[in-house]
Amino acid sequence: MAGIYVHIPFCERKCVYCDFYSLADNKNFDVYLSFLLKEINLFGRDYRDEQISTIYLGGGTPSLLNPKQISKIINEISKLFNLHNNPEITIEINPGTVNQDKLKAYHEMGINRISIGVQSFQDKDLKFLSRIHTTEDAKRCVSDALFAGYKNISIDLIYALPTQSIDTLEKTLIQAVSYPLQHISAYSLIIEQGTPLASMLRNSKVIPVSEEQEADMMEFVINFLKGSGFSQYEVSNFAKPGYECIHNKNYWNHSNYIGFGPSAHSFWKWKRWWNVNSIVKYYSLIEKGLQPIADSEELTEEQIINEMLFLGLRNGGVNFQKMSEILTKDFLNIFIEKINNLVENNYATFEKNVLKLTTKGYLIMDEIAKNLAI
Amino acid sequence: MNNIRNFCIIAHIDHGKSTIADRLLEKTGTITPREMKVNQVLDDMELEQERGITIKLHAVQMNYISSNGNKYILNLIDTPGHVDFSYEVSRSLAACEGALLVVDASQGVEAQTISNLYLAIDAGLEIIPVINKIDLPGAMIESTKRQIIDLIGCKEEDIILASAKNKIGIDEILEAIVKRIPPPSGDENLPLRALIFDSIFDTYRGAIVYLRVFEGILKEKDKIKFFTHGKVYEAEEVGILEMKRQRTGLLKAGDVGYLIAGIKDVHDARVGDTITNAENPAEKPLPGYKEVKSMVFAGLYPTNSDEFELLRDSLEKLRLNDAALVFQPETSTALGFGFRCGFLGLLHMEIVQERLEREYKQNIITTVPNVEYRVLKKDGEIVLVDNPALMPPIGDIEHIEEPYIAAQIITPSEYIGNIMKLCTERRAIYKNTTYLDPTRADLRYEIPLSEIIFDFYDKLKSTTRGYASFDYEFLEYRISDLVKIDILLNGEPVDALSTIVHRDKAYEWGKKLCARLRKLIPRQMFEVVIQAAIGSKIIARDSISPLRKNVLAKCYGGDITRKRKLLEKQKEGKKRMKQVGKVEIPQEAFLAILSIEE
Repeated sequence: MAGIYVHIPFCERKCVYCDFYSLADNKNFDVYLSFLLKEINLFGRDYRDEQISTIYLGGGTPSLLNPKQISKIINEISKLFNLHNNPEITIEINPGTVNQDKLKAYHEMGINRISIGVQSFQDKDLKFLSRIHTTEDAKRCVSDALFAGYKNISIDLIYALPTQSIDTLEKTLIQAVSYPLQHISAYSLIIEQGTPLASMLRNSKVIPVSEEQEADMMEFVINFLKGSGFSQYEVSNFAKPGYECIHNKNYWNHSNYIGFGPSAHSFWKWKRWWNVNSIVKYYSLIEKGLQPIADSEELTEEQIINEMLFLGLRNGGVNFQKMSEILTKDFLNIFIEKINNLVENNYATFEKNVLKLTTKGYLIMDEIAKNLAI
Repeated sequence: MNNIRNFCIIAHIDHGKSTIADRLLEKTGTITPREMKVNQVLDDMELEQERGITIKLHAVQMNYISSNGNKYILNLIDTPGHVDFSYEVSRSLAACEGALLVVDASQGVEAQTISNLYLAIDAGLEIIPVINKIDLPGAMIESTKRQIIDLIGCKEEDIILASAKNKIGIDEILEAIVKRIPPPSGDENLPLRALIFDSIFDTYRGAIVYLRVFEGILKEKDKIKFFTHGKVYEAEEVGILEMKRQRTGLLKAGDVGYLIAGIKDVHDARVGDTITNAENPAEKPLPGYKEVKSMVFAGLYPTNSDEFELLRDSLEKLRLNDAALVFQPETSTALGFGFRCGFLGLLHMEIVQERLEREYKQNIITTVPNVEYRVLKKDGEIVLVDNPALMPPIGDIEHIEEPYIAAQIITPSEYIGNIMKLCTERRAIYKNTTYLDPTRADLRYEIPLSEIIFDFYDKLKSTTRGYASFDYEFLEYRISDLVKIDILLNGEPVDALSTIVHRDKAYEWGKKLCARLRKLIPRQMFEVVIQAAIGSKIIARDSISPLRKNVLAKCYGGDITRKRKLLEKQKEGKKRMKQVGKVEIPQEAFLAILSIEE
């Protein structure tokens, strides 16, 4: 169960809240492609002992690349790796960059899951977020994807926006569930350091929503989506039964994955490394035949335990029996007092050695993780 | 002996003591300009540099050839510049025959300077007045001269005008030192009597004693004896203090130098004690020895209760360097095992706290500092209470006495109103006012010590735009109408937050304290109710609503490391919290009273 992530570090324009590595002023996609394929070829070879069951094209805006360019990437991966006969292949789509034909072409080359960056069905919100698309573009994009034949469609939404109220959030959610979607990722707006949004906050050009409003909105989203047939399998991820994102779940349960492209992260046998987040450095290292790594880490036992705890809490629950087996230590004994405390206060349930957060618990997950962490 | 001069510098903080000292070192070639770092040389402890005050004293010997061609040995003995350390100042002064009185031309004479000046005059020192910073735009040379003349009755031409920064007046100072300060007297044929004016601790050598020999000779291999405790040691190494220790094997009457004698505990080498020869002892010690007495007390607790032993080790190591630090173990239901520590004053407490954190990497919680109360119980027993939590039950108390200090405040007269207001708030009793000159007043008050260990000094500074200066000394214990306020979190008393205040202030304090704690304690997974109580009576209440949302609902893709590092950072933050019952309390909360006015 291993996965491959490919980063496409280009955008038509940078959104004010985004802190992922991406360039808005570089259009030399073919040059990038040649280096990317070189990286896959040179350094993918060491990780061919495990079958690859997911591919994820993320960004940036991968949908800026035309179908021919995308197919080169997928072909290179299929040539080199031992690919599962029915892999999950996802591409992130910006509604402002595609039409039905493009989506059809992606589908025909084997991409079977698309994740559309809708963010909101309210123009006011989209403007605030400085998205390149409108509500109409987003609606058209979802229909195009449906008509193009995708059976596994996800959309991203963002809540806790200063431009948002529970009412307008509800309108967005109603619009979202009106489509036969399989998956919704609903993120709350995080003001990340170094983003334009952070300086807007510093200059008082934006007033963040209060903790109370944020909590209300998160609770509203969870209840709304649960009521619409989605189940929450991660803090911000909701899916119809059987449509959880396999690729993302791999991240969260310590399965192996390799990332290609600048700033891409990899994890293989308890070792992590991540690529440089500069396309210039990336090119020059590959030019020299060097792996474009920025840094790496080998997880200590303490780090493994803490990751298992917080990733488990975020995503389906912490399985203490499994944890004890993997690390040959009696974790139940260590944590039982804290577990009971959480259950008593209705923050979590504990069944069959799995500690699973309730909605109330999800809302303060970081606090709970901090208290559990060793 | 005729060519030795022992002197010190009396100055208020920032009046330029260290800069003048540096210039003297430079001029005498004791230090080359290249060795001179940006900061002043004498303040070599990191903390001292940051605070710009000399906390521990040192001494340094300089060689000087005067204008008439004679060679002199000048011993500069440094003195601490804060009211907490006035006893150490008095011992440094006792080791000298003269003192430079340095006054900032733009500031004039300050309270600290006056009290130290009186100490110096009492000790019979020759005073050389120096007005520093004469080239500053705001220099008030004439009025500063007037103040100095009024204070010490010198002639105007005795006052040296200087600017240490721009090397003005340094030669005049050096000449005045050799011409005006008398050489030391004392018979080297008499039995040894040497005054300890400081000691530091060296891990390898033990205590390094800084001393001034008054009579007799101190040689290596001599058997020496300390008057206060009578212990006998062998002098291993004896020498003088230049920029580094310079071994000479011998110190004679009049000399200033150091002694290493395998003394494992600095408490055996107390400031003010007299050393004599064990085989040929002097009859009497030099006068003036005093046991240092703690004025301020606080509980020091490890944030992580497993680190109690580590904290004990650190305190013991620190005490080797700091003979004024007193501590003994205590327990708190809220904070677990820790130590009740006694300090000379609030600054001393802050220094200890910071050194524990910086040099010994201890994560500590300090409780609100308090004074020591004398409680007369109804059964006639008198108990000393240095921890509010240990105050006997109200019903058992006949009366409580608290320490009062005699305070001296020197201020430009326009701020007298502000000062009177502040002093009234602090239960001060006005004694009298004298004028140093038409614009500067010297106010005398008697104030409960407990009222000044909180932010009195800062308040005084801000209400007088930094112009007032302050000095105090212990006066006596007096009966006061005091009560203990307890703080309860979710119904459980937190003993470390108990505090003793005057009854008239109790309600207001209870209310403010609860409000302050509500701001300092972060929201938790449940509601936190804060109450203030006197005995079983609740006098104030506040509450903190439970945390509703604390989760980063965001996708970091495969970057798990970033999320984990965030968690690790939060976990570190949690380490600095203290768990009391179920409530997590940040360290700042235990000092809530100190910031109660904010």
